[in-house]
Amino acid sequence: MATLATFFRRTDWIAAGEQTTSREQMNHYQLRALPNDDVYFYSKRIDNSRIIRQADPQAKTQCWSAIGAACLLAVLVGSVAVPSVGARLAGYKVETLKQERQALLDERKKLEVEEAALLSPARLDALAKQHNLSGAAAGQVIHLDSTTDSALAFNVKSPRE
Amino acid sequence: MDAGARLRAVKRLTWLVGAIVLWGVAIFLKLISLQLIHHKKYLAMARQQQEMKVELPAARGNIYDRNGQPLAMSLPVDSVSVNPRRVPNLSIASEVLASILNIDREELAGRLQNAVELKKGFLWVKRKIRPAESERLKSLHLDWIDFHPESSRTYPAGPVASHVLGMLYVEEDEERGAAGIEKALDSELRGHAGTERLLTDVHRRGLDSQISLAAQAGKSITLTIDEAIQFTAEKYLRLAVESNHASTGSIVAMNPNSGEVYAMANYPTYDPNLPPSKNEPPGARLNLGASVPFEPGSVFKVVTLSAALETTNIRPDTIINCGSGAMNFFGRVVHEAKHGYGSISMADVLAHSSNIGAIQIGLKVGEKNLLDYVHRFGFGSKSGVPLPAEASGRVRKLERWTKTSIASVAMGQEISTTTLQLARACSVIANGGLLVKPRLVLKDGDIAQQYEQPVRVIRPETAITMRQMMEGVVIKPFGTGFHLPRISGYSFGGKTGSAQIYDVASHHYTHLYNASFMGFAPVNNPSIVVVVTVNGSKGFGAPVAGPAFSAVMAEALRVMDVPKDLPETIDPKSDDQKMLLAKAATRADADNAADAVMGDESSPQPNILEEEDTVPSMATAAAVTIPVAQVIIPKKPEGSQAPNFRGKTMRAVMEEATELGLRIMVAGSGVARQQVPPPGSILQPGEAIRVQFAR
Repeated sequence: MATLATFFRRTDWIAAGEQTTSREQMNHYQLRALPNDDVYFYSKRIDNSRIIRQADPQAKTQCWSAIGAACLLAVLVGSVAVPSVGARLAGYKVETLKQERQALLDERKKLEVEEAALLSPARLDALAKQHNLSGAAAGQVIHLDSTTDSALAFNVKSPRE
Repeated sequence: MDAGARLRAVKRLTWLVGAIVLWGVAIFLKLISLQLIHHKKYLAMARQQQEMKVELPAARGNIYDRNGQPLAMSLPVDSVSVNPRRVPNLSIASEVLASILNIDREELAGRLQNAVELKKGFLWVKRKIRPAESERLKSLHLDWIDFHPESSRTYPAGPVASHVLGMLYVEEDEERGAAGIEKALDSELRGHAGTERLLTDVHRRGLDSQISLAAQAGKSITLTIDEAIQFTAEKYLRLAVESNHASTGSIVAMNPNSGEVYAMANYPTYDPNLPPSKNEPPGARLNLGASVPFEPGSVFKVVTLSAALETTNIRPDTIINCGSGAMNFFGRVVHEAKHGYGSISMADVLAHSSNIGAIQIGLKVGEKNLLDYVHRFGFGSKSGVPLPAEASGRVRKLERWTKTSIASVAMGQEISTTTLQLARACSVIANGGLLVKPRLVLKDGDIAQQYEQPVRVIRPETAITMRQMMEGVVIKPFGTGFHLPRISGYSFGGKTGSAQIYDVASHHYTHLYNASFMGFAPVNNPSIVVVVTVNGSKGFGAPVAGPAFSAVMAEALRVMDVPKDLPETIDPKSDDQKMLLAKAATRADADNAADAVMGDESSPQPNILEEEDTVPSMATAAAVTIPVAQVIIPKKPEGSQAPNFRGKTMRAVMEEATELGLRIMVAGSGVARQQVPPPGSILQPGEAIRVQFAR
């Protein structure tokens, strides 16, 4: 096994590079030796081009099983994760809507106060005075007769009838 | 591999495994520490980072009038605070805050500096800021500025019903009622704030929230007050006080059958939206109508006469000897205001408001019975209206009565009442003899308030007789209320009163009066009772308080849609014109009265004489002859002028018409209430006068 000490002693290894190259040239199957270790590796060329993979009737089933299992796992993980994410997103939305609702309620209150101020008797009285309107008498009735302004409806029988 | 290298490799692996195990153990121990030992601490730290504690403000309940018109509402507002330790630069912070919140920069910088020196972590910058200010501050996204939701009380109608509503003050950061309904029903109006835990993300955006303590909003209160009637009462009360140069006044309008108070107006008044200031007139925030008792004067004769009808054999037509205008009673002298009335009926005693007549009747009733009926009419005790400072008035115990007390009480002296108590007493007459409890609250939340069963205090026939006699006060030509403005389409009755104001400092009665008028309409089935009191007036009951009474009563009858009981007459004059006419009449009467008072002042004795509808003060001086004031009697219409038939019986009208050679057309029965053409009109030759009679 290479140690850090041997790893940093790479200069020796580089210095010995020519010899290695000559050795590799001698034996094409010999691989590069591990530095400072007496371990040598060789590769063996094997020609498998003539080997034909034998058809495995269960491989397809296993493949689909693996895919199915992966999908099931994904669905399971999703079924756990999606509601959580959905709840998080819904939480954002709910809180935003709550704030919006409160803002609208506050706005309605302000408008109610404004409306009440606009309908206050003191303001109506001042406006009535501006427009020369007088207060209605109790159950006030306008008596229509011939001297009444013609703009008013005349609800008595006409002389012809 | 040789054995040495293999051993070294195994050693290395052992160390590695040992380190990994130790690492695992360390993680496990740390987990135990985090999850078990210091669980609460880290949970709190996590919550501090991830959660916000949001206060859920409980809005104070609204106050509505009987028609659902808001009289008091609470609006959500923000208050601003800072953590001085987190403020990066005090100078810039004070500059920013002061410019947006319109506060003094130097003062704020000083407060910030002081807070930093004292190592304070919290400082209010400004409470209840405007929405625009809040938006501007929030747009800065400064993490050292904190916003606290609060509510601000608003009274949209301004001064209308301010004395009934009351006001608020802040104690321990909480609004509390200081007066009126706001104080009396503070526990119902005040809600309970709640809290909410808001889970936030790294950007402090809300993810989820959980209510820790639910907020309970305050209940809304619906009053029996009608905003329109209340406004009219305040408007005409102000006119009555200012035009008569009086100091204060109060009006109460109520339903005599249910006790519902439609209006309770006081003058001077105030705007509850504004904080108390030095510029306000003294006592502007006092509910005079319920809290400040006064000597009622002649209006109290109604109680005396009711007691007489109940306990003696005196009837309205019983003749009472009122003498020649002066009466020596145990060394005290009581005078009529203008002249003696001689022997007149009990009904005319009330119409003339004869002081001596009232004393004679009171003497027949007796002290014990009179005091009993004073209490029966609700005087001397609180009415139970939900107002915090209601006065009970003052009625002396029988043991403390002097020899002359019966005379004083019979005329409405040596006793003090509030305007509300007078309205309650008048309701006894108006509703047929039942003492009702005045009500100010119609609904508490959504629950209608229970109507308390009234107590019978006088017989129904007594109440009806009193109604007729009180109607005589305003329809008899010599009645003290004859010149009151009419209410078109309605009959009404009432009683005037002008009690001299006693000056405590000089121990003498002054020449200023509590001018009052209490009455009801319509006479046969009274639906509204109105009592007007004007304090510190130089004028007297009818001319000072009468116009305001008519205006408020007319408005109340219109608003409450009370059926008419008389043919309608349209007065082309507007209300303000009527008020101006009333002012002129008041001045004329005041001038006349001044003549009478001048005659008294020339006398060496203290003045005890008053206008005929007023009550004289008692004097210990010996009997003296007081010059009778000159009475200006209007000339009767002559020639082709239409006479005044109003208030007369059909027989009297027929006799007078025959005597004058006039043609009349009569309709109805009872006493004459309307006539066309009106009195004083020029009659065309052969023109008939149409007279409407009604009971």
